[in-house]
Amino acid sequence: MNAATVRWILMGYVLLVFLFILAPILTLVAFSFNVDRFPALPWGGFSLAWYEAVFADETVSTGFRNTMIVAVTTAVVATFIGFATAYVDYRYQFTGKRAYLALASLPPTVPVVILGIANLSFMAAIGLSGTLTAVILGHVVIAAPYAMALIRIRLADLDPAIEPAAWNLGATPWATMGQVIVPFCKPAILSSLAITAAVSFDEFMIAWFVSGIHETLPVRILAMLQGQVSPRINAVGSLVFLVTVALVVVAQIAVFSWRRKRPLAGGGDG
Amino acid sequence: MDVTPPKRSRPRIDRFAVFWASPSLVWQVAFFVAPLVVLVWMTFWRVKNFKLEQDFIPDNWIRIFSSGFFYDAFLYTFWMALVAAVLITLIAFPAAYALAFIASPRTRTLAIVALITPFFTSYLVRIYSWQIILAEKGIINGVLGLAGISPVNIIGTSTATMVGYVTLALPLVLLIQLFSLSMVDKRLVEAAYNLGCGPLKTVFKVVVPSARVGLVIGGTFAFLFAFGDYVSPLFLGGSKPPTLSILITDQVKSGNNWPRAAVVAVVMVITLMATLTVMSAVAYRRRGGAR
Amino acid sequence: MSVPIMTLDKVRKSYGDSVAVHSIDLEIAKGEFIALMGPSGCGKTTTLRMLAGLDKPSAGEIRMWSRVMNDVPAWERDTPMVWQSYALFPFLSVLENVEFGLKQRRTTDAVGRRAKAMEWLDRLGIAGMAGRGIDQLSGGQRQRVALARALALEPEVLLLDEPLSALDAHLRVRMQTELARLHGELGITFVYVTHTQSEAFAMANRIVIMSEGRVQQIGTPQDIYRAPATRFVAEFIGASNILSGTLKESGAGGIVIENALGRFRSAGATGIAVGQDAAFVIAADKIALTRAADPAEPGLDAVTGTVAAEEFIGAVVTIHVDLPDGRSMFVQKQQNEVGRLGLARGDEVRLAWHPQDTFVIPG
Ligand SMILES: Nc1ncnc2c1ncn2[C@@H]1O[C@H](COP(=O)(O)OP(=O)(O)O)[C@@H](O)[C@H]1O
Ligand SMILES: [Mg+2]
Repeated sequence: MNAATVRWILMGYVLLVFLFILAPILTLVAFSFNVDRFPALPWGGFSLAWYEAVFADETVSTGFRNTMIVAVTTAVVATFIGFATAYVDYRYQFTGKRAYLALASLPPTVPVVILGIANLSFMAAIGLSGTLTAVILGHVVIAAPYAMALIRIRLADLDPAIEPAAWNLGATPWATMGQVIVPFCKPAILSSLAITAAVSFDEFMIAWFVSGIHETLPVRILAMLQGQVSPRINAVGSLVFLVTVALVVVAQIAVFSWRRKRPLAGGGDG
Repeated sequence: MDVTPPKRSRPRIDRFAVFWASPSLVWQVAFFVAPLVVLVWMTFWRVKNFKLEQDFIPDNWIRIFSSGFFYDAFLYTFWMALVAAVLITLIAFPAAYALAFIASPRTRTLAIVALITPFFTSYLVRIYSWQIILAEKGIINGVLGLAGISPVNIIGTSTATMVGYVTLALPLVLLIQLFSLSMVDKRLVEAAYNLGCGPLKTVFKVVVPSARVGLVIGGTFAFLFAFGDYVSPLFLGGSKPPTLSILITDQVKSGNNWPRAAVVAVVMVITLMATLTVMSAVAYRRRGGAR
Repeated sequence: MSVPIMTLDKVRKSYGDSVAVHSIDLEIAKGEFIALMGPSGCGKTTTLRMLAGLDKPSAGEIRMWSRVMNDVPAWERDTPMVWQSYALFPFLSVLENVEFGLKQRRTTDAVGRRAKAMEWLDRLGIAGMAGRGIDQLSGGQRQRVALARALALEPEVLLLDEPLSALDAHLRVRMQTELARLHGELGITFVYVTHTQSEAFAMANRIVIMSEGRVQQIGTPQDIYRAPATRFVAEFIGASNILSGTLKESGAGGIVIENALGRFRSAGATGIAVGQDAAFVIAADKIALTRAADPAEPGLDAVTGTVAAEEFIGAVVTIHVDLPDGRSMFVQKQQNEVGRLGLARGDEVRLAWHPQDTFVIPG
């Protein structure tokens, strides 16, 4: 077997892997347009009926509204916290910094089911059980680390002399923050708003445990999944997918715009 | 004449620094650490007439640890997560290798976008979609039927659960591997070729050791994700047998026994912490330290 | 002497256990162009940052006129700095960069600010670039923006940290001329950090030579070149030969140092006691070079040796000579002077000099 054959086989394998990753999404979208009640082959015919059913469903629209409220609030708060933490990491050295950063970045590694049950009892204890506020509090915990990572990557590109240069020209630390650090981080902040919104938009476990009657859309979908298989799930799933993909793609465009000259992984070709 | 005391620079509290350092500290302590502390505390509460009462009794721990189904669930969950870690690492590696060393930069960038996107999107509905694909009258059996092959029974088995785990963790594992392979000096690979190392031998003698940290971290994340996942074992595996996360939700949602769910959750946290400790020792152990 | 514009009084800076700057005393006069020079890591930047208030002295006092500045934060001072990396704001245009400092002062409105910024861009010959982004500028243009940004504040003191080190040789020389011209026109004080001799010697009125956080010598370029105070300075300047030996005589008529090559006279007295190690320094261009066979000129001290190598840089030739005891010396001459001698490697030569051209330093 010569080198070229090996290359073709490997690239073919890559294609298969991506097919596996994309298969459920393609199936999801395709069957949202299938007229049949049960999503199966052979194809029954094109229809928008399931979308109409979804748009008419009040639990879906309420869920969507709740999700939007939670996602937008989470994005703003998590991005602020992530920005603050990234800046502290960039700017200061102090004892206990490792522990401080570990605490700030650990939450996404804890399974959401554990965070769900932990939040359930905690929110009950502080009297927030069954509120959207409880969902937001929990979502910020898992979203802020992503914001921190994105903004920290951006700050790594900031010449360490820039900030002292601003002070040297008469800008106080607060003015420097507003006129130098924040403008410099703007693409990362945008990207972080999008990613944290996506994380929240997609989260169903914490929300399921603490939202009570204020179901978010993913929780509604979870409830639908526990019932019958139905193309309505395909339709609503496709809509959710569209929103999150849009958010994640926006985030990535922002990242690539500032890292154009530095691809995320560029070691392969010299 | 007045003697002014020597000016001593008081350790002034830098309000600016405190302002930026506190949000994350306050938030994560209040809404991450505190709930986990309450979780541990709650394992000692009692449930009386379906009502939760603060207490300090070991009963929940005893009940859980003396029930056979807990051990079964624990071993099954752990085993499945372990298999997932190894399997996903193996599936990802050739693809990561190809993307790092063969693909053009354009393809690689595209691949990265295509991997980051699913990490953040709609895990729940993607698992639902697998349900459609793998179901008794699903797409796979539909295709098999057209080819005249008798239907296979995948849904409701551990295999189906595993498909879900791969869906969940493969993109991230691939990204981590790709990233660590990109750090491998390409000249090293070429040098190995020049020294008469065959391609396969080069991969195992040069590439794998250089990317070991990435491989171990990737595998660890796969384990972490699979161990904690609730959706795949429920909707694809049909909760037969149940995993720890299913035990938790069952105790909460149907059994209404939060303290016992908390015990299971604490056991999960301890297991994950132990795994992380062991794996980081493996990842960062000095090369050749243990042979 | 009138009150110096800036004073460093036993200023010290340490980071944990490591000391970046040991007790520096320095007075900077209004209008002077003073250069801090020394090898990399000797504490020049640290000293400059303390003058700007970006680092706080661990001990000692920094005064501007007679005001103690130690506790005045950087943003309340008026000592703008030109940075080694330029530190221009990448997301602002050239004009906005220059306006930045003016905006913080709030002394003028937007229109006045703009006019002033344009005036400085014009003065530095980059008015045409006003609307550009920083990433659309060459190194030399960035340098000018950095200068305009600092000068637009019309400060009494301008701090510069190796401002030319990122430029290529050609541009560096042009900017040197320009900086010297600006200094002359503006009449403000320049504190200029560099590790390059030619920059300091070309522009500064006064040079401070530093090594390992200590001041080695402060003086005019002439002083430093002709009379290096320590062995470190002599070696750092590199334009001189250093021959060590033992101090044999010391008196009103001068001193005598003896080593394996002979007895050598030097003018002036030193604090070194008879019998101690000492060295004398003789500048490479103050040495007369003849063939060893030619008659010696009376009144000069001399050594003989063999030609080891010749280096040509422009019209100047450097001749390295091996001495009988294993040391070597070097001589710098105009090429046409040396050409007459027609020297080749291995030729015997005599190096001779006037005792009053030498200086004695501790061995
Ligand atoms: N923030 C700092 N922390 C610790 N050491 C420092 C710091 N800044 C400078 N130093 C040390 O102080 C010494 C002087 O540094 P610097 O003033 O930058 O030298 P120069 O500008 O002359 O090259 C160096 O040894 C450097 O490593
Ligand atoms: Mg320096």
